[in-house]
Amino acid sequence: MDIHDFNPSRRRFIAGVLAAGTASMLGPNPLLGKVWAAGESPERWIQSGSHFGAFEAKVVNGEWIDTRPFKHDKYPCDMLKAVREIVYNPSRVRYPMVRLDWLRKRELSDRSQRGDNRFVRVSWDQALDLVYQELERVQKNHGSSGVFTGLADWQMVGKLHKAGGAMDRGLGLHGSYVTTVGDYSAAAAQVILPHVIGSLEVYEQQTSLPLVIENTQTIVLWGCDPIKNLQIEYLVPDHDPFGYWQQIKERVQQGKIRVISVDPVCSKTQNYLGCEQLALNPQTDVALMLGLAHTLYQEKLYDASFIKDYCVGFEQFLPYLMGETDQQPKDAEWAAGLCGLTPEQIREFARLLVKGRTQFMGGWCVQRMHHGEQYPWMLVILASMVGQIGLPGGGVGFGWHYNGGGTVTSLGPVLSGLGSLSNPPAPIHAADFRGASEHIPVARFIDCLLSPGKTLAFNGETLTYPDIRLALFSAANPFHAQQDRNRMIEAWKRLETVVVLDHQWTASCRFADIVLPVTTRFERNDIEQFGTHSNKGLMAIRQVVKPQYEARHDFDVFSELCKRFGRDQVYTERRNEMQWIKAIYEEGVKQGAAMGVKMPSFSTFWDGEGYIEYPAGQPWVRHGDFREQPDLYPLGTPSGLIEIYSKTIAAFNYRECPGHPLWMEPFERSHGGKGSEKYPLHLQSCHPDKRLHSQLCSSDNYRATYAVAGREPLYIGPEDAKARGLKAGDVVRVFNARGQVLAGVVISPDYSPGVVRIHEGAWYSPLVGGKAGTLCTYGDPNVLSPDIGTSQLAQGTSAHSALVQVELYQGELPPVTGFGGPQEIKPDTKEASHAIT
Amino acid sequence: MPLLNEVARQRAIIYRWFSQLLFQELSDEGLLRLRDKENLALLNALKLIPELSLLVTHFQRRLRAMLKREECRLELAADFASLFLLPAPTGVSPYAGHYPHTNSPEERQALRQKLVEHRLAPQNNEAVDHIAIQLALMTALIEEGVEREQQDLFLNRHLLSWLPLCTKRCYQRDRFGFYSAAMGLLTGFVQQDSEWLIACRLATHPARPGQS
Repeated sequence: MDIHDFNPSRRRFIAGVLAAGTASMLGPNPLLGKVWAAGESPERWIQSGSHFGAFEAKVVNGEWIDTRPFKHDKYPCDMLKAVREIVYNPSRVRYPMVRLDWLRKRELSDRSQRGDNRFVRVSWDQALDLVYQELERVQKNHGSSGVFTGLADWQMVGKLHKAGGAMDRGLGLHGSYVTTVGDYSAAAAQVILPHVIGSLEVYEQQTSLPLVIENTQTIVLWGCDPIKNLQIEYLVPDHDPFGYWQQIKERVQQGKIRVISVDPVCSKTQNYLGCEQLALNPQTDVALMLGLAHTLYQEKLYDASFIKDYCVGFEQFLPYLMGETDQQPKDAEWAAGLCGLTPEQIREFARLLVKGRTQFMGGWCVQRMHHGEQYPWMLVILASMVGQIGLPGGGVGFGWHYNGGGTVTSLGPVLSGLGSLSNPPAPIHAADFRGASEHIPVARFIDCLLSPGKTLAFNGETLTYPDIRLALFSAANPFHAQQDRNRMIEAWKRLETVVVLDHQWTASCRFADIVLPVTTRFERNDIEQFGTHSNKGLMAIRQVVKPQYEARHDFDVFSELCKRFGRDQVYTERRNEMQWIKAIYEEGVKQGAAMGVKMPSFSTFWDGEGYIEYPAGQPWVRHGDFREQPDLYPLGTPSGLIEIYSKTIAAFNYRECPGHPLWMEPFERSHGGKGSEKYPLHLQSCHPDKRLHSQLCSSDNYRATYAVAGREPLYIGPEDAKARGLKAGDVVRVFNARGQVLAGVVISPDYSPGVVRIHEGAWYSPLVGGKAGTLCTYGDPNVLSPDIGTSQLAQGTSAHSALVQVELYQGELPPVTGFGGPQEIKPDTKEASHAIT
Repeated sequence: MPLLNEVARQRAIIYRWFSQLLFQELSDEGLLRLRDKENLALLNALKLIPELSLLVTHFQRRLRAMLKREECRLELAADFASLFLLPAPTGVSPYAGHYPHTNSPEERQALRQKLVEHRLAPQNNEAVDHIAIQLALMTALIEEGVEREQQDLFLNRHLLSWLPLCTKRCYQRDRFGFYSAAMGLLTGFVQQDSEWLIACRLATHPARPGQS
């Protein structure tokens, strides 16, 4: 064959190619020679676990290609489908990255560039050197108060590989630093409830559901949605509660139990059970409870003996309830006006509460509002007036929707995991907070950045905001969880250095200076409980795939960091991953032996089935001991009893949280409250149904199953939609004075007029990165929520005191900017985004 | 056949050049090599191919502008990172598995098989469906004398199936334009190479009357 066998075009191609000559090497060759071992990595199913459930992963040639639920999970979660994607998706953080301007100028960098994404890749050594140098600089020049770690609240499951534990263990060897107190989920409740009923309540086990099924006549779901929220757990869920809720559903259908959902929205639980609803106006829950309490008192239906024997302070509360202090009795008429119900509805409900056994189940949305402390307090008082606290299937609980609340806790040992060192050497830098506080309420972080040195009242203390220079975030996504995104962008410029550890490139990574790639749960070995509250069993969490790209385990990241100040061997205790897991397991064996629970040897466990089921426990009643023997089992309150009036809180002299609960208008409220003329719609930003907060949002294929026009759904009732000329699938602008987002319309009769919802965890996707006020193209509801503390008691999140307006988006639709594969939504189409195969 | 062998040898050099350019950031040495005689000759050679002429000119312009920047190595490294190491919409995925024609596990399995066949493995734990790995694999196929029909199958299945979309995104997102120009040139070259492989097939097996 010669050149003339080809047409002129190919002849020119040949000529060009032949003239290319020998190009010199521009860099290393991407491939090297390897003889692959025969039969390397055949197909197998590997057991693992996650917040979404336990499962088995099908791995072929080292690639995870399929997922099936764990055989002991009878109610597997749909979100398991989304889990594999996070290992391989385009949002994966692959290499250590440093913002270019920060690399050049360090703490003097131009911080307004954060969010614009100009990063360079660095080696791990370089990255850790930079982090170490920053820690040294800040400790020396600014003291311990200059270093801050964000709450690693949703680290991946596993007793060993705890992101927060790994970070604290390492940083603690170097020096002290500012940490957070509370969390975004239940800040108000977890501060007030110890004062009122002597314990945290929210993160604790509930009365066993079998006892509710057997004894309860009426369940009151107060802003509580177990069917949605029980899908995920802090540890690996066993999902057994779904079996109990199925039984409750059957009893509802048979008319043997009534379930009333007090909620402006028809929740997933209500739809599942087919139960009743009391659709009150948003943020009026305390008014309703006061109206109920007044009715019970007025009609002499309340349990006076219970109040007398188990509570203190009723006499101090009564004048307010009856209107003696402010000339306004908190009667059904008064409450009806605020709640949007009729007085008769309220009275009937009150009468129902004392007719038979009533189980109150309090959710957490209602305490994520301005004055959020009032609701859990008042619910305890209401339950006290009903008088059934401590009875099987009666009383009140605040954790039914979480962590398998209501399961029967097993008799097995609870393993601890990687924690602090037992005898650590003195840290390199002594504690030196320079007069500032060592911890701040998590939701007040932005206030802290904006006003260092300012004092803050918090749960009876006076805190002083530290002057934070360096912030480290691991297993945290502040650019999702914190309220008022635009205020946050401005405040973020105050930080000299931001370090983020993650495996997904979240908005927090975009606003960081140093990003370190960590492995996902599925690239690690570990052990974990099966069932958070239930502790039903113990399972091996096996490594599904090798660590991807340059991702490292948190444990290795921090041990390498410790090497830089000679503490790596102290950190690791000279154990590798499997040695650690074995040590943790064997601690559990010892514990178990002391409790009469025999466990197999580690090798039998790990090399065998990798699952142990503990002996079953007995059904249990929350507050039961207290009710039966209040002297022997007093509550953790000053009086040992339920504090309807709290002398402690009264002594704090907080205007927004005095000595007993009261109704206070929040700073903004729909349905005739403050601000409702301009922004008439109440925005709910509840925990999502298809994510764990912001986790799994970057699983593109799964997100495509619920996104609308590629955006986070906005749920809106038919009346409100019609008034705005909206139809299903439209893209709307949701806005208020704090910001604006795009979302996709879902019209649902579940939503009362004046109430809309965008689930939190929707990834912040600014049109212009780093610019406050820019449009969020995906639908992050925390662009719209306020950053105001619940009150001086808990300084919690008030995310649900948020009003918005909604309008059809006009003009050319911008693409979604937060994440995703290479598909883009064409500007003129309103179809749902295509699934990325 | 000396002509075809020589063309193959040169094609392998060109594919290797692209794979090294796109695998990772250029070091100081790499930048020096980029402006040396050999590499300039390569670019001028590609310019002889009419369909690539404008693409080469555009790349050469971006190359000259890039070299003039202060701290050009660091700036170029930031361009590389922003485009290929960060996810959309800042960057563009350099992994075939993220594109609509396939999915990650499937693509990685297929490429892994090829790597095993040719006794090769990626450096630095890079995923097998990275653009540079695929280009390096194409180099290997050529050098090992794999049948041109197989080469064309590989090229179409693993490169042309997604490079045009990837390149389009690069043009949209690459602020400075050096790497998007490189991608444009690469895509153009691969398209021309595919036509070359088809032409070879036709030249060796001309269509008989009645055949399409």
